[in-house]
Amino acid sequence: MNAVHVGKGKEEGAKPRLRFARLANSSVFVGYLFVAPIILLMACWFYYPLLRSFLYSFQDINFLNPSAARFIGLDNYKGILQDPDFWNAFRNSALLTVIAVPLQSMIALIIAVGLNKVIRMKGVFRTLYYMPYITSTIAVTTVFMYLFMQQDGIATRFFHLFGLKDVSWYASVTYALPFLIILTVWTYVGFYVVIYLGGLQTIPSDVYESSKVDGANVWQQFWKITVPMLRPTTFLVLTSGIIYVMQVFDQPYALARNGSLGSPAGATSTIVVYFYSQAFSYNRAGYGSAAAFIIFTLIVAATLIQKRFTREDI
Amino acid sequence: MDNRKSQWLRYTLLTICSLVFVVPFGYALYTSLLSKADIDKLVALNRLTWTNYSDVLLHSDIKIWYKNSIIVTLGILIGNLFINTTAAYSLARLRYPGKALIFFLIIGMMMVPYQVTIIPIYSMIVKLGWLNSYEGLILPFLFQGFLVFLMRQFFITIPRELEEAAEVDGVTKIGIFFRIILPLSRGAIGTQIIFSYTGTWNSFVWPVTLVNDSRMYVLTVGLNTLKNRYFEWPNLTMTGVILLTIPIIIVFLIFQRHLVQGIATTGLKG
Repeated sequence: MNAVHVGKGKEEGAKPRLRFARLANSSVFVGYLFVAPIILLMACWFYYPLLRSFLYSFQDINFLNPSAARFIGLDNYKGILQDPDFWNAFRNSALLTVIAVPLQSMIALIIAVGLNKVIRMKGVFRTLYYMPYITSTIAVTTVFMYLFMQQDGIATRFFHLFGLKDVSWYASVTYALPFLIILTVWTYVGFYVVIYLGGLQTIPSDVYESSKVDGANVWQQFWKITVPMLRPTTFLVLTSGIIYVMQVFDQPYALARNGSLGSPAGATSTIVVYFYSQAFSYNRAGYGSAAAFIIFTLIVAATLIQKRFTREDI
Repeated sequence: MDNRKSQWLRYTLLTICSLVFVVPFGYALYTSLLSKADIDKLVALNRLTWTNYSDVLLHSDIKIWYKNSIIVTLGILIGNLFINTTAAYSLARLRYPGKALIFFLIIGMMMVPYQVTIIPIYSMIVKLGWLNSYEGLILPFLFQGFLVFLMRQFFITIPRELEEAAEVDGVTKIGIFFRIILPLSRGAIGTQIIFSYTGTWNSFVWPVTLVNDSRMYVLTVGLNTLKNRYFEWPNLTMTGVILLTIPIIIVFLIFQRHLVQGIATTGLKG
């Protein structure tokens, strides 16, 4: 096939350098060589723990005394499903998902459509919208706690104008979840703006031009062209939105300050907060593992249901 | 509505929207420059002061947290670049038995939330004596399924002819990867850098779980304790916020065009 092959055949194994050259040219050898590090690391730090966690979830096992572990079948799973704290966390996560995901997707779509046709400063705006997403969740939560503080918080004062109470939102049982929703939407909108901008580029501009000839106005163009043609992008935005929002953890952790996780009074306890406090505040490795697999199942289920809905729409 | 008018309308709306995104950053920066007496007041520019920065830098452990964050982020970044990129090239271009299974195992990791592995990993780290150590904060995170996927998506778009021409010239498979493919992949590597860097720099749940000695805190965990301790002094906590955020914004501004490209190639083609 080529010069190297001929040369190799003649002096096979003659010099170490050539032997190496032959190995370096073997698809099989180089292929395995290049995936070997990730296979080793994955086995140690992903698949082995995954298997262990699955086994833990059927055991009564505690971090403080792991040798006293015993098999208890489905008791952990049953215990979780009978725990009112779990259902409170489930309700919070469900509310967060059902409100924050559509809200952030809609705002992102509107901003992206506005930004798409802009000629100057497009990059500047995009950067501004994207910044919250790359900023540490702990930093963002810290800033928002001051913005939503009683009396002095800018946002509290703003919303007070519209008749909302003058309280520290993060410490109020009624306002803490809305606070978490605002925080989430603010953080993720910019990410979805960038994704929608990518999607808008895939719509050929002559579709808009010919619809203009047919007398369609901007509003009709938006509903009849932009929205339907962005359906694959919207699927991506909703799916990844659901996955992110169901994983919310840092924000409730930070706003609880030195109080117990999910403060005030469990108002910001999400399913991941529930998981974490079972596992690491109460040291219940087995019970926590079962909670982890329940979260995993919920995420898969939410994605599948969502997929079903977008499909039926088409 | 003529074109000019519609452009103006767009700019006005976009500017109002961006205010919502800018105000919290502006608040943090402004408050970090206030003296204790001026907290929650609107003051003239000449009353702003840098003393909070010198106070925080001198009287808290923030310098150590910075060092820890830099070591951990660089360690993971270098590992990620090396391990994910070689794996992705192998999956995109080389032929060998079992490749489909390996691909499935790598991509499969993307669907599994971290809660499912963090408990056993915590026990493993404890058993290895790696609690409060760089090993514990770096080694489990050297690879990332998503970044392998991202690089693979990029590699399959490179025309095969380039590699075939190099092969004719007698370049080995390893040589092709280092001398032909890598120089062509600067954009994709830029994307990988920004994802890996921002993800590690901002990560919180792992370092807060695997470290309990304040001298081994990374910045995010440090800021959280700083906030809890000095919550009554927003000028100090906002200084912490700015110090944590500045490095990420600098790197983001340098690599941001790669990020946009990266989202476009993985998100939409994949």
